[in-house]
Amino acid sequence: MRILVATTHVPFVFGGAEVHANSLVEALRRTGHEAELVSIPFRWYPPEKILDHLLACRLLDLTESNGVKVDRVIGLKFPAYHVPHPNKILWVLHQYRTAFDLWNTPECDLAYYPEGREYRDTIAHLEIRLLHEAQRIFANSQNVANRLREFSKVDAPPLYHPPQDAEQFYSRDAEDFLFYPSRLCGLKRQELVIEALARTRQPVVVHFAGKPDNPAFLEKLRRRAKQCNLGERVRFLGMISNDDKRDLYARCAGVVFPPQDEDYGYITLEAMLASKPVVTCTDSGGPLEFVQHENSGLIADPNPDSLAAGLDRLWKERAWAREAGVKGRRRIDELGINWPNVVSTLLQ
Amino acid sequence: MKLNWFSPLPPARTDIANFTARILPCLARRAAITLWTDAESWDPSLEQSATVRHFAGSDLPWPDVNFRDITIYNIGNDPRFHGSFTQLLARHRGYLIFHDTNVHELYRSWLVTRRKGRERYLALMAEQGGSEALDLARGQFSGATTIDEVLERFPLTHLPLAESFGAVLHNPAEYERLRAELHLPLTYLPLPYKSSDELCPSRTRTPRTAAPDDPYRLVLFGFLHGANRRLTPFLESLAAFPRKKAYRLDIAGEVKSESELNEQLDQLGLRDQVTYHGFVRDAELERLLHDADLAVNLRYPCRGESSGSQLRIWDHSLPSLVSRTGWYAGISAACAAFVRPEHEREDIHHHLDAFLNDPESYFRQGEAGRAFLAEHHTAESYVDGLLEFLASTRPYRGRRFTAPFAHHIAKDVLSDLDHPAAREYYLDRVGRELAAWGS
Repeated sequence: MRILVATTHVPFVFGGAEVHANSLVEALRRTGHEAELVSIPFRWYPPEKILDHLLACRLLDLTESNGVKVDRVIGLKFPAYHVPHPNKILWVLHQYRTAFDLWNTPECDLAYYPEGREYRDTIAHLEIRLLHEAQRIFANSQNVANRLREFSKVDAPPLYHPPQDAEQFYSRDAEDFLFYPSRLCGLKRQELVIEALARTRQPVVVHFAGKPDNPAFLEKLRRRAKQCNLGERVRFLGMISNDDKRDLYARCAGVVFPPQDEDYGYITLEAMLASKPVVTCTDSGGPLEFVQHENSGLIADPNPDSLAAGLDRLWKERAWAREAGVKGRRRIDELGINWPNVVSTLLQ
Repeated sequence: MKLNWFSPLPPARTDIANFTARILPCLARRAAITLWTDAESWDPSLEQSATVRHFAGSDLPWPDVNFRDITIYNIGNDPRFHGSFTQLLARHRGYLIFHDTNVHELYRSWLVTRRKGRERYLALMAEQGGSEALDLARGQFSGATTIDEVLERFPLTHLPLAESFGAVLHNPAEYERLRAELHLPLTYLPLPYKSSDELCPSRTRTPRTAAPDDPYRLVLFGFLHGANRRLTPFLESLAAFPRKKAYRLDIAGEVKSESELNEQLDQLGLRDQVTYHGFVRDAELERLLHDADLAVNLRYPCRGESSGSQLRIWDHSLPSLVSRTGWYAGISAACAAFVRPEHEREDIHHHLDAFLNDPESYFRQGEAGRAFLAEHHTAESYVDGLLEFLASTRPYRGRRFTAPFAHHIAKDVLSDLDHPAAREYYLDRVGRELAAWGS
């Protein structure tokens, strides 16, 4: 089949969504299909731009290319997933989050515009109107499936996929640091981790890896860490290579991953592939589909004191942490998350 | 449901503030209310039922506004109380409770008191009504026309409606007229008074023979600045009425100038028969209404408003004289006595005379008005109707964007397309797409 994967990207920002889209294209090609990525830049501010971009997507014609029919479109992200095609499957990474699950939260930039609520109602209306054009809809995770049902009355079964180069993860003996690899931004709550570190009883060390969405955010984190006298207990590694990332996963004593309502969260799966326990939070979304409290990790309340208690436990009870990591690896193996299954489900 | 409610609040001297205070306890039982005001102070008792937030200018803490489900603006024609709302409405769409459908004075006064206001007002008039409107508007400033002429001809009703999600009207005739003109969610709800358990008990007044030491008591109250409240014509009619000694008149409320009123009373020889109480507290007004025998509630020209004062009059089972115009013309003849604007003095004299001859028949009108109030104008039935309207028009709120978005596309994209065929293709393609979005 000739398949186009339609997604949205924010120029100069690279994260899990970009990995996901590229990996899908590669997986489709590995199974013998002609596949390409159609990636549409997206700017969402001021809010009228959202509709401009949606209209731009709606005016695209992906039914054929160079006189040859495009058999299927797989849509991943708003508004690119609304590109019209008679044989369209959606695999929703997430909807336009500030209009849905991030509405009513401080992360909702849309609400700072006077007309914010009107745009939110408009997007909600259009989602219901346009999602139904798809032949089938899958969700990236159960968390995303729940949101689709809650906000757009759509039933979308979750379809899990493996992280990039899943087979290359490995494990080593734990060293004296916890690892938090992720984009640095408000939603990933690195600030919460720093506040928790200021409250731990153990000399817990956290290595953060990843690029900030906005450099000012990194400066804010550094400032706060300094105010809390955390010194060498906090390290910001910046962007690291995939090899270095797997090495740090392998050598850490555990992984910290307490985002706010994450869609899916590769970090959880990567930690489990490296046989490392995960500390997450009760409101972290996707990770909760994999981490079992007191089994493969710990689930804390989303506040510094509770998270600090989890970090202390991971730091102090190394034998328990090692055992939890092994259980996590076993669980991920049992779930059978692999690309051939994803491709056959999407193309059924 | 969480509602933003923009309204003047007591003690602001407007009946729309009283309207909000009257329905608030009932409304707050069904929804979480945030009252927004640009006044520096408000009656603290409001905070028993709602959160009160102060704002200044047009930069609000928008997340606090947006995170509530619906915004409602109470729109009347007084720029002191509603001028800022028109500015906010242009930035943050909401529903209107449209107390006065003639909002010309609201826009005119709001504009002309600002920098380059006269030019902006004239530009607005030209946009709304072309050269006729522009000439009329200019005429106000040169003295060739009066403000009443301009606002009668150009009520500017559509201006706030165009920015809104829809409107509640308290005047059935205005509702029918606008419904025929606009594709916008509109509903008519009778102006509410208090909850049924807060109404005064029904009362039967006893007729008596008026004597010099016990005359019948007339009452005239409210915000009496405008000529449309007919204070002067009524005083002149009373002065010319042969049996005037059988009456005393109590006036309560704001007048344009107390000294001018006193001068007028002297000139008309009414000093001994008329008492001006000034703006009185609620309890004092209630006492005056309780003690009165006949209320005077004339309004001409009518600006599309319905009358909270009339509901207050009925609450006291009080008969009343009303102008046969606008909302008042729809009142049942069993509940009030009509005065034709074109025969004002004649009809006033007729009723003052008839009242003295047969007070009982007028008292029965007051009792019928009280029954009508309890049946149609309680806060409970109003809140039911309002919430039902908001819920039923919810789908429209998600589709409201299509018109302004189409305007934006036409202005910012199509205007650069010079080639007719390309333009036609794009118009058709985008038109079909937006039609589907709005369906």
